[in-house]
Formats: sequence, C-alpha cells, structure tokens
Amino acid sequence: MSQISTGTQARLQVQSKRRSDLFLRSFIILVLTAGSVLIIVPFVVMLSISLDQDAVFEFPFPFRIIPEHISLDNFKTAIANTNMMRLYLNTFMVAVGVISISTFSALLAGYALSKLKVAGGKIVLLLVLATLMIPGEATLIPLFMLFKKLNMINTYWAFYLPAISYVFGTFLAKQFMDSLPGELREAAIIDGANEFRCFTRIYLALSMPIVATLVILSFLGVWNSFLFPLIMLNDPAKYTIQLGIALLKSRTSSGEAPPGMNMAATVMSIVPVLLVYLFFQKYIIQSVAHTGIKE
Amino acid sequence: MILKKLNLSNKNVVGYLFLLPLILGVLTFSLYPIIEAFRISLYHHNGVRGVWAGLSNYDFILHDSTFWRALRNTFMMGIMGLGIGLPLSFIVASLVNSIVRPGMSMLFKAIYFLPNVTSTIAASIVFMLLFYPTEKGIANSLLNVFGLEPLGWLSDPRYAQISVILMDTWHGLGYSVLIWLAGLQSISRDLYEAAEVDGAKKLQQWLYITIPSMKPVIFFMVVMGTINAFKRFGEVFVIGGPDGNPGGSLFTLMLYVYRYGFYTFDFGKAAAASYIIFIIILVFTLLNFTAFKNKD
Repeated sequence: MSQISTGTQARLQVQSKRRSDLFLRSFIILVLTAGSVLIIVPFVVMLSISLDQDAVFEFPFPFRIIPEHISLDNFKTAIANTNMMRLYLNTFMVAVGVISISTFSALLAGYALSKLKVAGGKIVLLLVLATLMIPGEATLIPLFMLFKKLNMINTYWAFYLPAISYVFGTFLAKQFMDSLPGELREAAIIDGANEFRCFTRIYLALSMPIVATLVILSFLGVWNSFLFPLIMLNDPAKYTIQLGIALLKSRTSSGEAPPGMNMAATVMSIVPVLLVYLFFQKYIIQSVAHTGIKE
Repeated sequence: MILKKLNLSNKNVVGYLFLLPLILGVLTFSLYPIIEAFRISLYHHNGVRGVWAGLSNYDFILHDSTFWRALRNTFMMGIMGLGIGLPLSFIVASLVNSIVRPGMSMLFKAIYFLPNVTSTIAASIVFMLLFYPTEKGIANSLLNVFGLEPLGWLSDPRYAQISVILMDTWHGLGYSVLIWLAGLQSISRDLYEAAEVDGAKKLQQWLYITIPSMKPVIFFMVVMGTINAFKRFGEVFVIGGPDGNPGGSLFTLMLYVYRYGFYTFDFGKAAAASYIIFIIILVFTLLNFTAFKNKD
C-alpha cells in the first residue's frame, strides 16, 4: 500500500517537474526569440528604407516596414554618389593582397614552429605573441610618418607591407599544424623533396580548414577596418568601403545624407560580409569561441 | 641551389627563412613604431621636422582640460558599456546554454552574433537613423507608444553617450555571448547533478554554481571591455565628427589623438597622448595575463 503511494507520488512529482521544465523551456525560447527580433530590427529598418522611394529626400513617417512605393532608386543614387563600384574594387584590392600575404606568412611561420621545430622557436613565438600587447592605435602616428617617408600614403602598400606579419594567425596555424603527423615530412624528405615542397604539397593541402579560418577572419578585418585606412588614404579615388560610406555623411552640406541613399549605401557595404557570414558562420563562430584570448 | 643545400643540411636555417616575414613584420610594424612613438612624443613634431621638447608634450596633455574630459568620456562610456553588456550577454548566454537541441542553440548563436560581422561604421549610420532626434524617429515612435516624450538620443549631450553604448551593446553582444558560452560549457556536469540530488532549484544552481565558476571569464571580459573602451573611435567619429559632438560628449581619447595628429598636425602631442593610451592598455593587458597565470 505504502509502496504504491510512494510510487504514484514519485510519478506525479516527475510529471509536474516535466511540466514546469516544459514551461521553463518555452519561456526561455520566447525570451531569446524576443531578443533576436531586437537584434534583427536595425537590419530590417535599413533594408526597408533603402527600398523606399518616399525616403529619397526625407525620413518616411510614420515608419512602415513594407514601403508604399518600393524601388531601387535609392541604390541608383547611392551608386552614383558614392562611386560604389570603385569602393568595392578598392576594398577587394586591399583585401586580396592583405589576405594572401598575411595567410601565407602565418602558415609558413606556423609550419616552421610546429613541424621544423626550429631552435629557439618557443622563444620566438613567445616574443612575437607579446607584441600583441601593442595596440595598433598606439603605433598610428609613427606608421603614418614611416609610410609618408616611403611615399606610400594613398597607396595600398601601406596595407600590404604590415600584412607580412600576422601574429594571431601564426598562433592558430601553429596549433593546427601541431595536430598533423610529422612522419609525412620525414618520408617526403627521404624521397628527396625539399622543405618548401613538403610545406606546399603536403601540409598546406592538409591545412585547408585553418586556411579558411584565416582567410575569413582577415577578410572581415580588412572589410570593416576604418581608422587605419582613414589615416593612410586621403584621396577619395583610393578610399575603401568604410571610408566611402562614413564620409558620405560629412560630404553633404547639412551633414545629413538623404536617408534612402544613405541606407542603400550602407546595405551595399554590408552585403559582402553578410554573404561570407551566411556561408562560413561555422568557421567564424568557432574561431571566436576558441580564441577568447585574442588581442 | 644554395637553398637546396641548406635544406638538406640545416632545417634551422630553412625554419628561420620561413619565419622571416613574421619576424621582419613584427619588428618593422609593431616594435619599431612603438619605440618611435615614444621618441616622437619627446619632440615638437609637425611630421617633417622635430624640435626637442623633453616631457613638455606630456606636461601639456596632463594639464589640458580637454584631455581630462576625453578621459572622463572614455571611462564613463567604458563603465556603461560593461555595466549593460556584461550582465545582458551573460543572461543571453545562460539561456542559450540551457537549450537542449543543438540546432536551435546554434541558430540563436548565429542570430546574436550577426551584428558583429558588420562594421561599426555601418552600425553607426543605421543607428543615427533609428535614433533620429524628432518624433519621426523610430526609437521615438516606440517611446510615443508608451506615452513618453521624444528624446534627442545621439544629438542630445545628455543622452549621446548612453545611445552610443546601446548601439555598441547591440553590435558586440554576440561576441560576449560566445565567450560566456565557451566558459559555461567548461563547467563540469557533475556539479549540477550533485546539486540536483541535493534538491537545488535551477535558479539556485545558476546563482551558486554557474556564476562563481565564471569568475575568470568575468575578469577577462572586464579587462577586454576596458581595453576596447580605450580604443573607441569609429562610431564616435562617424556620429560626432572629430570634436565628438554633441557638446563634446562623445569626445574620446582616440579622437584627442586623431585631432592632434591629423587636424593640427602636432605629431608630438598626438604621439604622447597615444602613448598614454598604450600604457593604460598595457597595464590592463598585464593584469589579464597575471590573472590567467593564477588560474593555472
């Protein structure tokens, strides 16, 4: 008798616990969904106004998510006024150069530290990592003066040259290479391959996941950077995308660009990063989670 | 040919050849300029010629009320950013962490991280529109729904800082959430199971297991948040211009450096100011390192 009642009691307890768990879970999902809406709202507003024909001169009021007159006029004005294609091209030129140089340098160095185990490699890595403590903000003035002396202001050499060291990427590359077997190199060396060949033909081919991570991270870095290009480039024909959209505002007399055009330019500036994020979010999110110690 | 001979005989030589770009880059573009920044800070320098100034640039800055205002603005915005961002991202991370289905938690992570891949410049431009200072603005329309008066947001010196912080919170929340999540997932399941056996409620588990386990992460986040606060530039430049308007309320230390460097071309003072920022950041970074060491 008493056994049965404790059994029922336990079952009832489990049931009520389940019910309260279900309630709690739904509540959590609800809260997170509400938060997600807040996160998405600025994107929706941006897109909505960029497509709103009535936003050509002034702010549409009252605001509606679906514009009354949808058109691409704002995009046309934005392309004409910001020279958007030029900005895209410039930024791609900077990105391609910086990404190839920095990724290659990081992989080379990572390979030397991991697989060649050079004498003093640990100390080199430690010293190089220590320079991460030097923020780019503190070296701007001397770098500007250096590139001015070298006649490289308003050229992309000011971006390509510093790309030859990618400290954080080197760290990631070394860690990845540590997980690859060293026997492959030894076998190839015995077969008469030289070190560079071992690196390119064997280890580079096996390192594609980390190559992808490095490429994506540096792409986001280059695409979104503002202060460095602001200092190094002052010829509008050389502007990168962030300079283009940021200075669009200050170029108009009232200090306020027409909202439609402004939003259209901003939409165009974030489409490439959104695409990259859409396809490679796994790499991006993983790299952040693994590398909280960044910077 | 010589290279090949070296390959066979000495892998250290090849190794250092492979390390050459890295080492050269670090020396030229990191180590040299940080030393050079200090040297320039000791000169009255217009970018071309310099006259020895001793410590007078530092002396000037430390007696410049604009500098102190910039420091105060920077510091206040840092405090506000941490005060809002840390608890909020921790709550979001805890909620995401409690989701059992991996697909759904991945979806939330992806959404919350989304603003992070966009630039602060794009974010600033969009938020200037959301925070439009008349009743036409979207944020003000929302206030109107609750019967509140429209605010000036970014164009009112009283609210500009907090408005920027709200924007930065939106922009940076996902990054913090991911860091918290990495920390949360490293807590041993056993602790929770033991608590469950002892009859602790979910909320109690959160208060007495989760939060205390997060101490090192909290420390890391506070330090990183402070460091990033001292670097704040892009958004205040786009929103407030080089003077950090309205009313200089958004005038940060980096704007101070920028204005001396590239408006008045007083590179000595700009270098000195950037050196002060460097020292502040260095102190916080070293603090972070020692804390990590203590943990091990």
